[in-house]
Amino acid sequence: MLRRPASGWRRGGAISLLSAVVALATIVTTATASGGAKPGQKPFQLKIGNIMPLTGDLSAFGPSLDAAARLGAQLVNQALKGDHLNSKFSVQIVDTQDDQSKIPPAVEAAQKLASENVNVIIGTLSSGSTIAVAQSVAIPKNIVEITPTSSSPAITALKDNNLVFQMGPNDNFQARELAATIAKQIGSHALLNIGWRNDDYGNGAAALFKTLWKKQGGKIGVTESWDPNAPSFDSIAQKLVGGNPTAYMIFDFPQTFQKLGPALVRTGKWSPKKTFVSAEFRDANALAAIGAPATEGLRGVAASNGTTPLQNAFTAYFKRMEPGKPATGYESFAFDSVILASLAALQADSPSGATFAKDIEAVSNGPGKTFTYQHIAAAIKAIEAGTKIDFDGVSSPLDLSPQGAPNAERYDVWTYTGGQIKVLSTQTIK
Amino acid sequence: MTEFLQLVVDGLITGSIFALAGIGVSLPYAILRVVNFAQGEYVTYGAYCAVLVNIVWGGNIALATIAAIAGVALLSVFLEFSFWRPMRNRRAGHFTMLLASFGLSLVMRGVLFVIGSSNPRTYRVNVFQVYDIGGIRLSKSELIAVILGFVAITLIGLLFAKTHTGRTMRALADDRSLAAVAGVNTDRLVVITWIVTGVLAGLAGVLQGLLQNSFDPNMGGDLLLPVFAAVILGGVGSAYGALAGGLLIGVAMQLSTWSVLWGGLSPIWQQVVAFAALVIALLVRPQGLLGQARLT
Repeated sequence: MLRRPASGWRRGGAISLLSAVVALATIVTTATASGGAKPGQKPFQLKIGNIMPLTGDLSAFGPSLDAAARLGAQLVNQALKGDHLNSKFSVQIVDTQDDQSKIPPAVEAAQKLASENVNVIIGTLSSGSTIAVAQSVAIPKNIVEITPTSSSPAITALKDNNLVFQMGPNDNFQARELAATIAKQIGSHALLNIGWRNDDYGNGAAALFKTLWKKQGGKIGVTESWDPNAPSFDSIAQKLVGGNPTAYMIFDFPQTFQKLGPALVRTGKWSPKKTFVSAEFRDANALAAIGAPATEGLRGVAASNGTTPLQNAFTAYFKRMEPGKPATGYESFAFDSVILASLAALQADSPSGATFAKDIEAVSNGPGKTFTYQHIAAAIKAIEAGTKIDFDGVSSPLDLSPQGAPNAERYDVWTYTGGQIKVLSTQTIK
Repeated sequence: MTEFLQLVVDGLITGSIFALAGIGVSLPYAILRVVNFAQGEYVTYGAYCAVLVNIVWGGNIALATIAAIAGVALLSVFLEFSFWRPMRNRRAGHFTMLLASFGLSLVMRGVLFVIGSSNPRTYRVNVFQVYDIGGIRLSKSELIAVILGFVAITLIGLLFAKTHTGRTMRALADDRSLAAVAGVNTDRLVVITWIVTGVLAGLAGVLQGLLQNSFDPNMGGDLLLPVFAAVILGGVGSAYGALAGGLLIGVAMQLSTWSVLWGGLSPIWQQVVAFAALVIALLVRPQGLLGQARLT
């Protein structure tokens, strides 16, 4: 009797123990298997590599945007640490490569980052390089590429397996805002001479603008493009000032305009006060380096910075955190890129580009509660809780389209006077 | 008419730079049978020597030009002793030398990117001061470029025509063995050749920097195609040919945009025009304009 119960207990105990082990194993297995559904269960690190123009034509922007991207990663990591989630997920910017503002070094930079097993590339800043990096490295290797500023519609149209994203304003928006601004300032039927740098960016932006300008009844006089590496710009300038235009429209970078601008002044027929320029010219330091005779009175449009409370707050935050870096107006695009990628990876519970790329659009668009960088910890908690969120960037509400580009942009209309960029008005374009 | 004259003057300015750099390609070829693809980098080093003096040390542009000329001449001599002469002593063939010069070009450009960065550079000169000479408008930089360019071209002409060294160089170019048998110190003349090449490249670098107003380490490389076009058009190995070829290519490139010629081509076609002119000229005269009379 004594043995039976004992034997029964032993048998029953063994069964109970087995049941407990099975139950525990089931719980562990279930918890592990449900990692995709409940984000943040598997520890992982999101590796980001930056490709920035630290030298070359766009070097005025590279260092500041690199710093802004690192600030974004730092902010996310701080929020994760505050929620004791840093052992499960972290963001690391593993490297910054200099693309020298040129395509071949940009592709080499991307290959270097791919060899470092990055999940995300933040960069480049110019359309030609962004497309080359996407086609040569990012798409074949399933790396998410987010370009803070590249604006060519050709990027939006890439067959990219949904891996390539644009944070910045698409040239479609710029062309529409430029056409509207110029029409408002000098009349919608005015005669324009149009010039552009002969590259992916210049050709694309000028073609879009010409179509829109003609469509609204505007007249086009001389149209001229140039090789940014031409040995001389005098004949280009002579051509561009031909006829008697009401105004000029120029698509270029300030560093190249440093060659063309003096040549235009030398013609004696051109004035910066009659000239509209592309967004890249909104850089007071670069314009000051060119000199007032070629820049005083230039007008243009550019993606808005510092006109909403959120943008003002970010500008102050950036200046406080990075006092040595000039605020170029484009830092928020790099900052937003890193935060958006981080939140998407967290929501997908995976650092794999192929896996979390689809969540970038979802996180930017909602539906769900809206968060900004000022409430990043709350956004992370919401994702951890399995709640859908809508992340609004500093640069814009983001709201990316299925093609990976913003659906709306805020634009500043500006002029350069007395060594300063003066914002005249701000509009939202959808 | 004013437009025509303006384009001709602009073409002569650009062409004088092609000519100076082109003579620097032609001379080593004539005397050493070296096709120096690194000539573009010699030009760029000249521009950056001047940046060092004009921007970093605050010297004026005249001092910067002298420094550029001296700096590239020294570099050129250094490379003769450390690179070209050892290659010749090892009996490197023409093709090996060609590839070696290409490699040297890449190394020199890479070093400049590391030391000088690829940030655009500009000289401390007033590029907006314009002189109106009978309707032809030239900036101060262009005026400096045109004066220095033509002074240098005249001096180089006098060197070959009137001096013993120049005549000996011509003899060496015609027949190196004969010149050596006749007692010509060939090693000394080779060094002088590289000094002349360096001087012209240094000057061309400053002039191109002044003309463009903004440049980076790729500047000389971007010049290489029209410079080689000038050398081939003039007749490979002929210094005077390179001079004529440079000026012709420069003027042809500018005149192609003249509005009288069917409205003028877009400036984007200028390099194509340079090579079209080259092809046509070679079809008519395959040895180049002065190809038979090398250095004479």
